[in-house]
Amino acid sequence: MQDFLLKSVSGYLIPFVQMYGLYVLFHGHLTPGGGFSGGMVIGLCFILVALAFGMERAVKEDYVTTFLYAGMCFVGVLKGLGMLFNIYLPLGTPGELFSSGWIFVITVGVGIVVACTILALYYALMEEPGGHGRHRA
Amino acid sequence: MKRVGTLLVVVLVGYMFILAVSELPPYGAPDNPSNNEVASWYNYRALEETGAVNIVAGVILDYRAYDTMIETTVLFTAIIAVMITLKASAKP
Repeated sequence: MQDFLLKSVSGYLIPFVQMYGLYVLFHGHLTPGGGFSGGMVIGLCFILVALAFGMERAVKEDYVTTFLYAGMCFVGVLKGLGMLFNIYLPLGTPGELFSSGWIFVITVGVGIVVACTILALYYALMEEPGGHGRHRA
Repeated sequence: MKRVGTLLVVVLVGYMFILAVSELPPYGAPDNPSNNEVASWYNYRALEETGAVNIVAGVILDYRAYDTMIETTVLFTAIIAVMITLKASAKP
């Protein structure tokens, strides 16, 4: 649905929603939030873009599952690397953004997975049966 | 015949579950094996061992990180199952 009112309001609102989602994601070890809820807000922002501006502006149709695989591999491989080779990221002072070692990296990976999950779900529900990737407006 | 066999298997498995549940200790008793020092360890040691001010994030991403990894696998599997079902039901 490409309404003029929706487009103009979303154009002002989407940067703030994304900034809030990134804040919840990156401060996962400091404030309540973390990977799952931060990734959820970022995925919802993508859905807002897809509703207001059409699916082509949100994401190309071949990239959704690619990012899903990438997030999964990110989380899994990094856990394995940290376990096998004992790579030690420093625990800084608590309260900083880059303290607490691997927690930040795993949080970002989980956030990528959750955002791509929500976007893939929306994409699978909204695809028209006629063409490949045509948006049911 | 197949229904009788299915019913028998269900009754047997349910009986084994009820046997296992009846052996559990009463809920909230002070000498339960689940009331060990793990909870107080997480409360006192989480900041200096993980460096996370948010103790919940420290527990799910440092002490119990394998559970989080398997949970993302489960999320991934769920979305694959949904996409397979929706693609199969779409008319070409």
